[in-house]
Amino acid sequence: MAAVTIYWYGPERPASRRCLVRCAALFAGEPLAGAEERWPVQESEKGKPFFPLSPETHCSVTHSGDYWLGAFSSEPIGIDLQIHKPGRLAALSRRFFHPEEDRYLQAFGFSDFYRVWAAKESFVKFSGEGISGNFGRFSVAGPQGILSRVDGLQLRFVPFRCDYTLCVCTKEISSVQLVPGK
Amino acid sequence: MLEIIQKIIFEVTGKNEVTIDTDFVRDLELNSFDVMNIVCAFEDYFDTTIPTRDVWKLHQVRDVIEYARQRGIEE
Repeated sequence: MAAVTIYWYGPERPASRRCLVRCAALFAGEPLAGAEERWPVQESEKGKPFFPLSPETHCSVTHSGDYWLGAFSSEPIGIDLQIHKPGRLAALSRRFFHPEEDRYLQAFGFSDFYRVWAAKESFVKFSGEGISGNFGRFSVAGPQGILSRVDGLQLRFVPFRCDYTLCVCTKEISSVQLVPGK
Repeated sequence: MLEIIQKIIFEVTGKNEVTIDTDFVRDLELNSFDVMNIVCAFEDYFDTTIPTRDVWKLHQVRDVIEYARQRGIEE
């Protein structure tokens, strides 16, 4: 069971890398001073950040609109935040989503578009694969709506701000805590 | 080609400080949704399809221009 802590920053924030190491220090209960030296960050080939000196600390980052979020846990994790804004939703759904997801969204007027997107992206961020050729090959939706589990992984939507959708993906979530970053 | 890409990015994201060296994520802070929207607009404009696996190789504006040139996508 994974306890998940999500740190968030608003528009006035440090650069993404700096946010990440500060959050890592907060997650470890350490002072922020010297965090950059204690928490060097590397990225996988597909761009997922990790901490080579602390492989038991897992993280996933996302940014959208005015917000940057970093999720931390002792288990591998994926997170995605999406601001709701105009876009070619029908075209994006047809072009990049699984046919099952596209059918579901068409049936309900695309009102769940951002939930599908955030669920899918949190799923591919869990594995570290990121959005690639695989994005349209799995479905997070069935005829009755969005699934709470895909391939043994749990998808949980977390209330954040109005006009934003936030989804967390991990094996089994015990708790989710939202904490302002410092 | 650069002007068309600038126009598409502005229409989709409202960002207008775009040069050939601009990196979509580092400089414009675009996320995946923004990039996919740009891809859809680009595909509509040029009546073409960019395989999803190729999308994530296009980090900078110059990559898109080179990609278009290699595939014979013209203005």
